[in-house]
Amino acid sequence: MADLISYIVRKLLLAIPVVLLATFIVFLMLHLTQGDPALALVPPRHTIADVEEVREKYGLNDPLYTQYGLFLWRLLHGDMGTSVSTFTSVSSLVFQKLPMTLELMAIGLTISYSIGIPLGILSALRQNSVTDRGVMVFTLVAYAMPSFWLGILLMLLFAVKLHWLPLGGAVGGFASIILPTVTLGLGNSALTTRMMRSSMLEVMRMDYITQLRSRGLPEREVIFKHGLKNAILPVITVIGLDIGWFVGGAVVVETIFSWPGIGRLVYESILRDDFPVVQGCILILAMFVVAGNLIADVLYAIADPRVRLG
Amino acid sequence: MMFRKRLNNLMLSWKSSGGFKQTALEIVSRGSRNPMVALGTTIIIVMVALAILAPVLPIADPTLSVIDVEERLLPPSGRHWFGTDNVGQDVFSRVIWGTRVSLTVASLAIFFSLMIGVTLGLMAGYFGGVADYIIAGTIDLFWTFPAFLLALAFAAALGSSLVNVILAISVSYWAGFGRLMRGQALAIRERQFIEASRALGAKNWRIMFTHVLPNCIAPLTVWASVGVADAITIESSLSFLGAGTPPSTPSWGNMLNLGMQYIGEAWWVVTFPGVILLITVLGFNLLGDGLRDVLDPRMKGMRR
Amino acid sequence: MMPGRTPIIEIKSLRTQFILREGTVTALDGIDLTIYENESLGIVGETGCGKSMTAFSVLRLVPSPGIIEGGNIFFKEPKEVRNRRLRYVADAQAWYERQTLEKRRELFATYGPRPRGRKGRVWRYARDEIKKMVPPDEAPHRLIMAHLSLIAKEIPDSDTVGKDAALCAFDLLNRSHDYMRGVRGKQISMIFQDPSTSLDPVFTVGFQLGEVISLHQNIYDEAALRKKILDVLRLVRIAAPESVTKQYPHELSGGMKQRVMIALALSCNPSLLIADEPTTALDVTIQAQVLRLLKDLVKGVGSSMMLITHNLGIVAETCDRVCIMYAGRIVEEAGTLELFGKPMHPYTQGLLTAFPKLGEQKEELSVIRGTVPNLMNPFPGCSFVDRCDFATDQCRRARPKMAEVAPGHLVACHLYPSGGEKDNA
Repeated sequence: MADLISYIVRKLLLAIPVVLLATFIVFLMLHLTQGDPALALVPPRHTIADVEEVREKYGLNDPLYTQYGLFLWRLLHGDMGTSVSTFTSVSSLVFQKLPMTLELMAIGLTISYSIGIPLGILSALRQNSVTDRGVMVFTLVAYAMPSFWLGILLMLLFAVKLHWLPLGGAVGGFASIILPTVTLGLGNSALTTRMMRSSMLEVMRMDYITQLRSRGLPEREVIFKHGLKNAILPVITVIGLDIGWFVGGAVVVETIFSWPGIGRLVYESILRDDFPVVQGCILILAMFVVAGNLIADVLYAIADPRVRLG
Repeated sequence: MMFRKRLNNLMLSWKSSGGFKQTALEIVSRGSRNPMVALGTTIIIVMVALAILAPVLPIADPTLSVIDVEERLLPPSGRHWFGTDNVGQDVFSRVIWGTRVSLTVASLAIFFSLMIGVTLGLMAGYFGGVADYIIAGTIDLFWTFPAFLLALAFAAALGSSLVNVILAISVSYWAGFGRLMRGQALAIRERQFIEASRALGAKNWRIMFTHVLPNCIAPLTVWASVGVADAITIESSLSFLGAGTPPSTPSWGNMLNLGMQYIGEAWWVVTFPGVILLITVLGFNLLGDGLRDVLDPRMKGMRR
Repeated sequence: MMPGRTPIIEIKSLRTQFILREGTVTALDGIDLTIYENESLGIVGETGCGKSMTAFSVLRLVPSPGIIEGGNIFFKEPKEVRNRRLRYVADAQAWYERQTLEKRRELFATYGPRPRGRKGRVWRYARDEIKKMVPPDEAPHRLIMAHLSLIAKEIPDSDTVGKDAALCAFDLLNRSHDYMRGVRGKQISMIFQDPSTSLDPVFTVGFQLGEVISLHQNIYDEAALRKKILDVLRLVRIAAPESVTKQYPHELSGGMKQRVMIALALSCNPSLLIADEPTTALDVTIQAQVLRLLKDLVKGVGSSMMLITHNLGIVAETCDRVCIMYAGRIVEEAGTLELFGKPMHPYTQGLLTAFPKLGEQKEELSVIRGTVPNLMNPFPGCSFVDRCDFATDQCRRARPKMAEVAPGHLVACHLYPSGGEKDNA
């Protein structure tokens, strides 16, 4: 137990540089824009006085590191700036939309793993059979399909042509959450399936599996108790990367289905040139990724005792 | 005199370690027997041909941006195979021209990514010590970050243009190549270290260059192929969100964005570009996967 | 066959093949082997000669694409059943000998070992090939089996020995999968070569031991189970059993892991322990310890042991009898001292001279020339023929039969004819 805790602490410490990198990139974004950075931070209708005010407030005349320090300081106080189109604080906007995106991602992840893991196991146990080949084709196509197009197709089929499900928005209750989460989940399930399949195949070839059989264990236990527990480890490793994929996917899917989450906020802000909000959203999404990776690492350490030592 | 002798030795060792030609031939011969590679390559060749030949094909030229109100939103027919869009342009032509955009952006982006990743990875391996620690740390940071998000951040900041998209993707995707090269460089360095300890500096660098690179051609090709597929997806996603190619350029992402507005009335505007996009991405994926199966024993541990 | 001793396991004409796309590889080509109670038998041979395959075949764990093509594995057969079976076998043999030459050719073509080609397709002999065959003196194994199964249907109920009246009831190859699972780990257990890869890395040692014990001995009470686990760990001379139970395999040293394996194997007092190269992956210093432990425990528990190795030194120390295998066939079988003292088969002689001995002065290490033959193409004669210094024409034509050159000492070589030969087509 103790080694597990020290492992978690170590991982937490290692996450800090990633968080800093994210903040730095977001900070840098401002200075990559063309023209005067101050102009990105003022509303469309502004006066020269407004521009100067912004320059003072954000210290745009100061050297870069001072600005970055200021930026971090503000962040620690929860201040992410002010939206130039709605004049509300960015942080309040972002945290308002946060639960919607969380909901989407949570359900999407569940769908992805609920499809991916059983399919991967099935495919591995029946290697090279018709089932296996079918599953492989499915994963190839599902992986190649960009998530937004899958979303559009599903929308076309189920909302437009069949009128079974609503076109978008979050008001339809249960029905409205189906399409976006299925889009996300299906897209990622291809990856999960492949990972599970190859991991399972490798595990079943190991010596200890034959050893377990030679001890008289029923095949069911060999596969599901021992084989599965070992095979799922690489899949857990990948959860962090999966969450990263999901975050990107959420942006797109929320846009298509008008789901009022952070992803949609990013899209709208890009359209409206509302730079502070774009910055804030990207930062929060980056935090999602870091948190996701942390959770994945911890889960992995719980599952695989070999990892805790190193 | 000494230099010539050293150069000679290096050339000999290069030949004995296989060299580029041998590895390339091996890949081609084993690859052609694999159905995935064959199918993928065919698709790629078709797409590249379409991209190159687009100006001379008997299709409309979307860069002339003619708005033909009479032809608005026509369903697929003999004259317009994929129908027309909301400004009356032929969707088929736009899709074919979109091939140029997507393939160019993706290949250039991956090319630059490769350059960045290979250079940094080799440097990490060659220098070792503190430099390696820093570079490896950076690679890890960029690796855990979803490339799409990074690209979105950069593209949104830089503004919507072709160059910016290429730049954004290059800076986001290099970590994979970096990891690969660093791993190989370290492995070689371990092996050669004892011998090279007598002759530091230039010889070490040369050895890495002539031994590491030929061995890496194989996995790099696989990663590059898959990378182009990923880059096409990222670029079209960015364009779809309005942060990628500018609206005047016919790119698949743009077309899908526009088409969304007319999804109720004109299903063809969103369907066909997507199908072609799917096929192209599939082609590169097939090539990458097929090549990986062909070269399997050497590539355990590649995440996919 | 040794009079007065009870065999634990009797393998007859065991054939195991691997069906590949390119052809069929015969890993075991008609093995005859017997292990008696309280005895350790060593199986020695080069890599690829089929030693491990014998072990897997006994446990019916041959990995796909392998199949057990034919033969019997009689396990713990009661004497009465055995005697009765042998009577019927003798009847079948006698009937066979009464047949005409043509009839025997037909019988051999139909019931002899089935040659397989690509993808496992069974070949049939052409008419003219059959005419040229020289059928063996001994009735083909499958013919005897066919005869036995016919008889079994006619055995009257009164002439039964317990419930298992059928003649081959004790043949493991006839048993159901469920029965085999009961046998594995409980009556026959196996230790693998590399202890690092033989234990599931994500479960503690205690858990894995508990799994096997509770499965086979139906002990589900926590306290009783824990006690048993500790007992068995003490048995293999592990110093601090309580802490070891809570540890994971990667936390233990190689020697400890192998002891745990032995504990696992012996926890249910099996009648037969199969040890496949148990010390090859260990340090030399640990090897001696583990071997001694193995020997003591096996004697203590009263099991028999099948020790598979390529190291003659281990065999000399640990085994009562030795079997030399080559290319899927057994070429010599004798008591340990007898074999080392008077090796008969050229291969055995070659092995013994190749082994450098203490105090011996040599200029070069002697080797057996040539390499192991390809097991894919059926070879009519002796498989050692290309590497043997004494090879003759006969060796190329006919496969030598096992002949008893001294009590308990059998050799399969034309140098020691038994008065009859086995001709394969």
